[in-house]
Amino acid sequence: MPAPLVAGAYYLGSAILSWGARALVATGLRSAATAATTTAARVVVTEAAEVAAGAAVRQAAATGARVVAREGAEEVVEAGAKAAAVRGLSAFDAVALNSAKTQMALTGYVVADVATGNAITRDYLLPGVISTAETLGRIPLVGSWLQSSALSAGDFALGVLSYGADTAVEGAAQIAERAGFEDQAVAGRLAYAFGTRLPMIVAKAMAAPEAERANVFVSEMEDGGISQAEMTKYLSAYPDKVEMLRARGVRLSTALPGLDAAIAARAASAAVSNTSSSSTITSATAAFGAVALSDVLRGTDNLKGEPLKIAFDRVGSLVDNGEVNLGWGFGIVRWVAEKLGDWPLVGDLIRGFAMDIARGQVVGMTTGVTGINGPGIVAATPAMHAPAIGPNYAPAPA
Amino acid sequence: MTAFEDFPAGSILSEMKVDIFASKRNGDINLFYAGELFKILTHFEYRPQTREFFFVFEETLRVPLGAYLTDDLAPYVAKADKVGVFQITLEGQPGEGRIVPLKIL
Repeated sequence: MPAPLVAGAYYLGSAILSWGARALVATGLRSAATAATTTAARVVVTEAAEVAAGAAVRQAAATGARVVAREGAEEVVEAGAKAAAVRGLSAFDAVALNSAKTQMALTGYVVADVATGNAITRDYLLPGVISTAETLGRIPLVGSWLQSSALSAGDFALGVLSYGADTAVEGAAQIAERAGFEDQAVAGRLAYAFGTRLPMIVAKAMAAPEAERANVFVSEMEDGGISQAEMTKYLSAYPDKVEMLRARGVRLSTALPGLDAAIAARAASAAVSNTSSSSTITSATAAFGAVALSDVLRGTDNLKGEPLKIAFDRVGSLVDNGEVNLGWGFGIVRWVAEKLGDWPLVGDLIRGFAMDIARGQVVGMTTGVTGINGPGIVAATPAMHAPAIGPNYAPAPA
Repeated sequence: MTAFEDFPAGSILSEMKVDIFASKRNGDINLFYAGELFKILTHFEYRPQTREFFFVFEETLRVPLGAYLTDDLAPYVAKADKVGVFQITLEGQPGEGRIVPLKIL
């Protein structure tokens, strides 16, 4: 099984699941004024009244603070957005919670988080993210869509926060439009499944005997709430994905009766209308990739602003050009982020290395310590690169 | 692929996995190894003519990496004077990291 797929599945899952923790591992429940004195502190506004003393909050936001505000805290959210814009950030960290249930749950989790260091679950975060998007009027149409699509909400909500709503939403909308789904909640689930969970699902399928792979694939998709009819309709819009699966021994034609006919019908229709566009899938794929990548990079607290944009652009370009798959992007940046986060004393030493990886500016040889792989990085196999040294020594070419 | 048996006996790669990366942007070299170095690593040595790379412990013990540096990597190492060295434990967790001098032979 292709290693990047497995790595992609692992890294993607853990990246998303751990995002909530990083976003909300507050330095403590504190007043806005106190937090404002800490550069890049995470601010938890527990009382709307404190928002009224917004100068301190805005000051905190201007430092790049993450602002988590409750109902009535639109001022904080807007201040954070403006501060981010002034700083040239591609995103702002602002979550407004206007759901009493969520508000209480979040507060409780933050307290628990401070006390125990445990992660908050993203389920409690999502409504607030959606609310923020709606509050700011950035994605009014998608807001309701997200709320009705739990699976896609996480992905797109991350996009709203970390990449900017436009690109992430645009990618998802294109997927929905191309696949011809009027029910955007279904389209959202499909986009999520094929945009992000695909490596994991394929990996599971690949673990099965070849004759069973297609059934395993379909079963996994059904577990994600996607019917065979929906799968067939979606895949008929993306024959390249079908080919990719077929190349891995996942032959869907038998598990999805009618898929071949649907592909043929759509191709015929596209030929007539000339509306098929390969750029759709590449931009959408890049959007998904950028969402997860930005999530990972954000976790370092060190890679913001222009470097982050460079990383987005670079990885998005690589994906679009087919030079790398998403698994590689997830894998390398996830790994570096972990090292930066867990290894503060050494962080300074490899911070530049992290950005070089993100830019694709690294060459090397590997035996698998780091899991970093990609263009210009090769396995240090003796057959390829290492005539024996020692008893069987033979000089290398000068 | 795995390290160990694939590489020459007595080499570093016969004992542990090693990744070496160079930045195309600024030439920085970073080396990651999975395992324990039981002696004090004083510096690295690199011989551009043969692309041999050595770990030197306590000034006297020279241990070859066990693989020639690749064509992409070699030019950067030849111009470097130090290497960022990072230990990754067998559990995949970070151990320690430091800068180690590199001598070009």
